[in-house]
Amino acid sequence: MAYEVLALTSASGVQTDSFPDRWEQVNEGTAQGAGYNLPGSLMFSMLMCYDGGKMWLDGYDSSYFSGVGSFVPTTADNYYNIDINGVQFTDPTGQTIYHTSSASHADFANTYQAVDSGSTQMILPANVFNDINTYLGTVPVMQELFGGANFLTNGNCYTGGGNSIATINANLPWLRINLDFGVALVLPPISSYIMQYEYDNSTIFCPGIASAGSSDDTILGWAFMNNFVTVFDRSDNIYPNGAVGFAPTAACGTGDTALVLLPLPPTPSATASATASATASATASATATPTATAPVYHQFVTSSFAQASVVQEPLELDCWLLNELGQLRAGYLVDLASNEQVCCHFHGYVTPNQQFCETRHNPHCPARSSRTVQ
Amino acid sequence: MTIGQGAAAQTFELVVDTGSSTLAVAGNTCTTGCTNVSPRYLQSTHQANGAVNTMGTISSTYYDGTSWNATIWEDTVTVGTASLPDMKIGIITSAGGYFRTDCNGDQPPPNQGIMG
Repeated sequence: MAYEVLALTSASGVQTDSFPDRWEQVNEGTAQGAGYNLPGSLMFSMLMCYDGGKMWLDGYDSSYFSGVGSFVPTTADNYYNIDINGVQFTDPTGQTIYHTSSASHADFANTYQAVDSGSTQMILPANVFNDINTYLGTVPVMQELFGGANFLTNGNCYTGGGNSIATINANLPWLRINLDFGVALVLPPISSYIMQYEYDNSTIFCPGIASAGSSDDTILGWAFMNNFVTVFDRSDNIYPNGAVGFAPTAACGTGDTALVLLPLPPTPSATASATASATASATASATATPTATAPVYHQFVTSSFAQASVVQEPLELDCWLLNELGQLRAGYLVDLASNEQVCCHFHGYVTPNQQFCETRHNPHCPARSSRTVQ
Repeated sequence: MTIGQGAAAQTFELVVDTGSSTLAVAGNTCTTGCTNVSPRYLQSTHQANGAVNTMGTISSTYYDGTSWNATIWEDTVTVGTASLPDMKIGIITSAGGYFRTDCNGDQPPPNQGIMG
């Protein structure tokens, strides 16, 4: 598989040793400049299709994105491991849940979940895999087109009965993978648990998921990555141990595209709303009734990264940086009195009326848990 | 990716692997498991052009059970317009199933190494 290298602008900040114990010695760059071209950002991106792909050094190219993306933290400095909190089967919006019994963080505890471009399939813990395999065996379209109860284990590939990819995707459950901070990935059936291959000038469909067996470690390989432009960030600009970003892409031409679901803000409690409404109606005052406002997320910033969108909150928050995928998810808290950066990492969101941030674990940051600004 | 200095520079096709840690490429002295792998790192030529054989060794075994053994060299690595001097590289001396051919065995392996 040949990769095209784009947007290569600088060797500064690039790892100069191939062994992970030296990563600590790499000078950490600062994301800066415009859009996807971030010299010294310690960021690289990959697009893996079933026939070829692209790789970008020093950034990413958001023109390959087909929708909203997000970063999640990596759990250790020297591998691209992330946290999976559960796996579900849903509709294509990721919201109507068909099957939940795999959706447990405990299934993934004490093991690693690696984003691994060197693997082909998705490898899931044995109990999660068995549960998925059993469930898929009960789905009528799986029985009709993909060999019934043991599609993932019988080693066979299928023609799909001549149906289009769109038709198959519309009639099978989609795979939802829940990550940290409420970020969730919703994958179409074909390009997750079913992999499309070209073989002897025809399309065949093969299993995209296998069992980890006794290791229980999760590997998110090509079957997973070909839904996304995957952005690997080895700096601590977004999260202390680095980050992996997922932005859906249509560039592989495999049909339906995946979704990246962003976390929703907490809604005002029923008690608080009821009290406020009662008070308001009883006194006929002009007191505003708290309402749950639909979040308006910032869209991708493709031409002006840096501090293009700054939300002012003059008491404590001087600037909120958008992260590299355009959401307000990481940035800096600045003490205006001393003009010092007092915290380096948080995640959160912005609505027209509300900001919320939560700092992440960083030894350089003062203790600070969460903050809501009305 | 291009490895080597001056006239010795060679271009290799490597698997980009975010699940492993090491850059490695098949060496011309690889005697086991490197059948049909081409090109291979011409060790004496690179040594004459500034590459250093540290004499250290490294091995990797992957999830699918394939593996290789290598000697650690230091040489210049170039991707696009960026060059890194003295990069540590595993020069593969033997491989256990790592380099694969197609089903008929009549095509050379598509890659000569790995970029971890």
